[in-house]
Amino acid sequence: MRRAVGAPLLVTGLLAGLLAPLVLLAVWSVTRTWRYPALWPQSFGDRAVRVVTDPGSQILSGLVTSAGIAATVAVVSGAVGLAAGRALGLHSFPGKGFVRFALLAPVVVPGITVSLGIQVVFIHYRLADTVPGVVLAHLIPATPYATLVLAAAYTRFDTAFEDQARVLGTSPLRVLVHVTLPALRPALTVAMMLTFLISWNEYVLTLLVGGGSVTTLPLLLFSAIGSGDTALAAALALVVSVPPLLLVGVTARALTGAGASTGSGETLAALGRA
Amino acid sequence: MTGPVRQQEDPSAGVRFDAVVARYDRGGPPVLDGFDLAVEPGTLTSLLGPSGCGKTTALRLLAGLLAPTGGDVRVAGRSVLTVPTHRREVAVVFQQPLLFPHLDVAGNVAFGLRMQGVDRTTTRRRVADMLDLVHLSGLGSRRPAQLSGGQEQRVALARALVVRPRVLLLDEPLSQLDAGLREEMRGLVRAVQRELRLTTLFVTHDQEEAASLSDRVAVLLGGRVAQDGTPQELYERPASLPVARFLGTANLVPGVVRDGVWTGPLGRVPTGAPDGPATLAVRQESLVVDLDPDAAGLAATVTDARYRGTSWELDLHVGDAVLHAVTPPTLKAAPGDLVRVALPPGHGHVLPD
Amino acid sequence: MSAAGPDTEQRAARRAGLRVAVLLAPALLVVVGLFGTGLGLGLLQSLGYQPYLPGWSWTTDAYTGLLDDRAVRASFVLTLRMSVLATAGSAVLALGIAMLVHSTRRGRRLLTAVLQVGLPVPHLVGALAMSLMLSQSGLLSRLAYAAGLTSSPADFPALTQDRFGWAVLAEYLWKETPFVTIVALTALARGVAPLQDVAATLGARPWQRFRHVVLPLVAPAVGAASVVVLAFTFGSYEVPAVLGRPYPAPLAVVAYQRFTDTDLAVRPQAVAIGVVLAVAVTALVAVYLRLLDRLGTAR
Repeated sequence: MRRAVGAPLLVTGLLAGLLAPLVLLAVWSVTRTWRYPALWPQSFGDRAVRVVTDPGSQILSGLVTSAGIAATVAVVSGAVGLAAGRALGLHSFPGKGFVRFALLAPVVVPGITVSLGIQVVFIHYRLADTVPGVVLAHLIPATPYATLVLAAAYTRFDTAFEDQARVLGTSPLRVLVHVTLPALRPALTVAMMLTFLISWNEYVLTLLVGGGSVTTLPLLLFSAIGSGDTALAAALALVVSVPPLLLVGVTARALTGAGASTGSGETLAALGRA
Repeated sequence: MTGPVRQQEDPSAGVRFDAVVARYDRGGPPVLDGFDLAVEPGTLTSLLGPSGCGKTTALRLLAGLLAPTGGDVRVAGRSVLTVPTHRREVAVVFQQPLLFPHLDVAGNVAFGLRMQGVDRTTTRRRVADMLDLVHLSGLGSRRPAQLSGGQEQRVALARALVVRPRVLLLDEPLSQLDAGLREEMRGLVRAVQRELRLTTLFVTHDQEEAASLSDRVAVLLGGRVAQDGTPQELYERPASLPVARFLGTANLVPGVVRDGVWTGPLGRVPTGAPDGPATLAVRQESLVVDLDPDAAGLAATVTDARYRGTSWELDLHVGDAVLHAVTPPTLKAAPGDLVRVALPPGHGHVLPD
Repeated sequence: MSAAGPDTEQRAARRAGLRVAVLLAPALLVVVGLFGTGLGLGLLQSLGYQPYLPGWSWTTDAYTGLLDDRAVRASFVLTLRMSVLATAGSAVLALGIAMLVHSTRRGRRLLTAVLQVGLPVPHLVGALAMSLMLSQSGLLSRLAYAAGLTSSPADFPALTQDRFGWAVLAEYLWKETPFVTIVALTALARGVAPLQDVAATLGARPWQRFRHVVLPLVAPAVGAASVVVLAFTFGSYEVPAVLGRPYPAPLAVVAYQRFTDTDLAVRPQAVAIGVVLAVAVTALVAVYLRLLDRLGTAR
């Protein structure tokens, strides 16, 4: 009760600290000139926005590359996680502890270590500098998260529902499609959203494995930052940020209600990685 | 905070609620509205009421977990409204055991003493004594997750008692336990309360529990105390029709009072009630049933008989009125039988409508 | 059917085992096949092994080269310092903010929502935003000028491309604190409030309730989140690459510099730095988890 005065002040400060950097980006993206020491741009212009939305630019192809890679990673790691999550969530087997440990290892060990080590194999099999190679590299951080989210969901899943369907004469495939998948849908949605984000935001793995030939949006953003064109970099930063924000917003809305709490802990852990 | 060292002879303090008003939402409807209650030092009072009547609210007010919007709450004659929870010396056992999951049993029981800075040796001894008292000696190093429901609740009780509170609050602590365990825990609570002469407020919706445990029972209906008395008083002379209904008085027979006599389907019963329509409240155990149709009493027809193991429960038609009565298991009546039913003097209780 | 002999039982067990193996195979293919191979080959290459080249030999040259390299030693210290500061800072800030959010009624939903806004944004975007905020011509510097504290960009302390790495730390804290906060809030929402009430009725003062109830209960969740922060910041490349100096730079940046060096002789050093990164971060996480464990059981 004594904090009644201090709390709103702290909250306001906190909100400002969290949002100011993003607001600043948005302002810069529509700036033409903003010279030191002005606190507000001298003039605005849509040059940067036009550049990043120009269909003929590299940005559009970067967007397509990024989205394609991230979607592939999401689908593959979602499927892989669906299978492995079942084994971890519903079965006990010798070596389960080791499997869990192995799945956590890619969370801890830096991606740069692994990609430097595997580069030689990728070059040998002509995966270096290719989109499939980048997809494979992105699967390394993505798969553990998908598996852990789905394993948590499986532990809450009652297999009696599957038994019930089997007893009623449903084939295993139809049980999967009509019983199991609908029950796991919230967790699967979360897992795929996360793995999409992990891939979408990945920089260093793409840089090393893609070798500059696979130009995703983060790579374009990095060179834009290096070029010194602040407005362009800011506009591009928004292009990179908006899809994840929309995705999280839409997913959160879709999950409100049924199973909203599904694996929230794992979800957040993965967002931290993204 | 180490409070002043209290005398072992009289560890407890009385409690008073004076015209307390409490709401959960500002501007919302009051949960308690003109709530008055006094608990004498060293006694166990039950606060009995249906769910949502404000029982738990009263308890949270006393513990300082909620502030009233009106009225006063006193412990040992002094208002505690400005005293924060941790200095009220009012311990609570909640409906859920709420044991600290990161501490073992001994750690849970020792919690309050650690907070007061009591030294280790004393703490160890008092914790051991308390675990003994609740029959959990030897389980000190167990984790809460390894305990049964009854054990968890006993740890919660020990944890509350070890700090020697001025008042003990029990918020339906037995409602989550199964029947046998509940019985055992009731005995334990009563024995411990008597031994420590602890002022105790026990919140429950279970009449039988309230009756068997309490020195006094306060019936809480619609945010205020509808009646406060010994369990016997309550059962024999409910103060109003709502109280009688809540206590499950089986027979509420409408009639009329004129010149100090109630007249209705059950005959005539002398009463002090004012003239006008009135209800005669009769517990089902009070009615005496005689299978001999020629015996004294009112003629009745058995419409249903249900075997209850220790008794028969009969539905009887007396004129237009339906009465409920219980008879010993040997007294076997069947639907359609003609019987006699009588109300012994002093057993009906007339409530003005 | 009814008389299930030991044979049938064994067969059933074998089938269940096979089922688990099939379910796990794809995930293990990724974790062992890609991750394990990368890690193992990294280790071998740092010791001289060259899978597709003839005439290689075992050597510890890469490691002795690193040990003798003052730049690498400085880089190691820098990486360690930055990672530990970011981890500890975000954990402490997150606990404070979580307690604040937990105790505010008005604006709580808004605050929780805003905390989540930064979560899906890439670190690279955060790095750009931080340079716009903190560089010598950034917003803070302009505010300092407007307040009359400075009269030129050079008067403002260098927070980007500086020796300490203030902007890098700021970016880590800006991005990771909300993440740890949300995790702490999730843990707090899991029945901590009633336990605080119990503690209060047992005589625990506000600070004691925090120290003996809240902290032990949220520590496991915050600890797990902090492991993610620790691991990420230790191996992060793009944030120091944008906001930091090329020298001394964190290990990940140095590894990339050596990997792309025109002098092919230093390439094994890049892989060796990767191995050092992996070993160091694993050791750090192990130490951290041990500390956390002791904190949890400490009386």
